[in-house]
Amino acid sequence: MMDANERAVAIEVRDVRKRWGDFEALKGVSFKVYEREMVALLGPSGSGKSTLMRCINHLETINEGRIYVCGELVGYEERNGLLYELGDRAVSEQRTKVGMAFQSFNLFRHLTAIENVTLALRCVRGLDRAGADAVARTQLAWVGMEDKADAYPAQLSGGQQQRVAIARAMAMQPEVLLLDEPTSALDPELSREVVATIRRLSLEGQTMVIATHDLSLVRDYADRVLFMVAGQIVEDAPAEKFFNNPENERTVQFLRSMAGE
Amino acid sequence: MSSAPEEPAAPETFRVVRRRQWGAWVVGAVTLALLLLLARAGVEARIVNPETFRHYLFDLEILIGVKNAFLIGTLSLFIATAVGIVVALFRLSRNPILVAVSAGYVCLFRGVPMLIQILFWFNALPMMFQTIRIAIPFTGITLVNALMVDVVTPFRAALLGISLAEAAYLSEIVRGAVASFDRGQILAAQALGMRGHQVVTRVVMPQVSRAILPSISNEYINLMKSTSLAMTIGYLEVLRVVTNIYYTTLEVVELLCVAAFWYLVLGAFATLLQTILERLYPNR
Ligand SMILES: Nc1ncnc2c1ncn2[C@@H]1O[C@H](COP(=O)(O)OP(=O)(O)OP(=O)(O)O)[C@@H](O)[C@H]1O
Ligand SMILES: [Mg+2]
Repeated sequence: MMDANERAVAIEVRDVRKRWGDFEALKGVSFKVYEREMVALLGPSGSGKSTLMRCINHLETINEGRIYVCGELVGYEERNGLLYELGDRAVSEQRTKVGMAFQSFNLFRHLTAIENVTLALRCVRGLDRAGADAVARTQLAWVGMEDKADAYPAQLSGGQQQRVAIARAMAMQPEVLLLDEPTSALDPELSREVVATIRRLSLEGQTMVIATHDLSLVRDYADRVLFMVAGQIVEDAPAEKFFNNPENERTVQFLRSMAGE
Repeated sequence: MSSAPEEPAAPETFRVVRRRQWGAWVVGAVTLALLLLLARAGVEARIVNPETFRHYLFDLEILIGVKNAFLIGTLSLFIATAVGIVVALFRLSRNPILVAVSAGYVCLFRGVPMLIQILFWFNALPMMFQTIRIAIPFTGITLVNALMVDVVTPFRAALLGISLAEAAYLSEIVRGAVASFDRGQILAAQALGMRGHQVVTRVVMPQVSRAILPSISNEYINLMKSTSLAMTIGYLEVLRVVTNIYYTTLEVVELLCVAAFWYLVLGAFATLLQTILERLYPNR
């Protein structure tokens, strides 16, 4: 799907609202992510970054608005001007286009590193054991985890677990990759390993959205920054402009407070 | 003097003397004395004649009773697990009818004594349905056509009563384990495009079944012992058999000891099974 700027759009989020009871976590969020772009999602704790990411994958229902991934409406089907939620099969199918890695890694505890990667290859992609193993080994080697292929999550450090989680998502060859605070549970030493992986992903031109509090990561690799406050995107700017010439007062405050730390 | 460099002091070593727990020793001594008194009373009164005990230990009728207890205890574990999982899934569903049915089931079957339930099924089923007929629709083929009194044997009534009661406990064990399962792993599996049933069978079930293994073993031991309740409807398990014998021979205590021995063996078997399974599937 091309937009007015003649660029291929990977994700389009349009006026999305998400409520839990009276509390509105997303208050009309709109943005686009172009193909091969790395977009950073910044914002204070509780601003709705994780919620937004889960919505893009339809891990969370939305109350209003639309989300498109590769031009396809996510999670719903439009009939007679109403949006009907899709069934399990269709939603699962859509989710294979979007890879996701979580702040708390969420590896399957009963499976080894390589089994974590092969599980979905086998039961979603339908590969046989040998085929899935081959893909998984390549993917683990790519994140530098081939020698830990047979370790269980409990035997891995946080940085190693996060790299396995990224390998698990990437093995499915997603169109876009969502990383929710991939380094925030890690000390600087361990987060370096993960940042190296993210760097390789961006060099390969993987379309990515990264929610993070790590400004140096954003400064070094992000093409564009979305700054979110209380369920709204208050600044959507190229990374360069975001840091040097932000428009919103909240952004200025935020950057100042982060610099003060 | 002041200019001389100070000798580094040799590290002092301590011998650590643990505090003596005098109170515990006193209580221990008193307990031991009471136990000895009790044992002496038993021996002096000759409550157990070792000869009689040995004679009945491998009595054929009693061994059949042991087999029957094992049979019901084991079969009911499987049936109760299957029913318990269904009841737990009802409870975890978001449908108000299913939730209410499940809550009602647990309340009723956990609240009424198992003995009453066994007696109830044995007596009430033949009254509720005089005959039972199971046929394949539209074909005219009849699979079962019998009088309910003949169908509800002591074995079947006991199996039904014990299984349904136990299912209530197991459903709570399963529900607790599923409810406390790490939601993040479910999200991760869904994010990979796994279907609902795949998430359940490949991610949730393997971990939940490992988590509930110790509780299930506990229930298994309980079930083996609960089979003794089936004596009331004339099912020939260990306790029924020994009771039948001591009604005529009056060797009550010896025979009770024989029964107790075999329940201990059944319990030990369950514990052994648990140990083996825990070794086979270590906690990750
Ligand atoms: N299941 C839920 N039910 C109710 N409120 C929720 C739920 N999940 C999140 N929220 C609320 O939505 C808001 C946004 O949460 P979210 O996790 O998206 O924040 P975040 O920007 O990712 O924060 P952080 O940087 O701490 O991860 C928070 O106020 C949170 O309390
Ligand atoms: Mg978050």
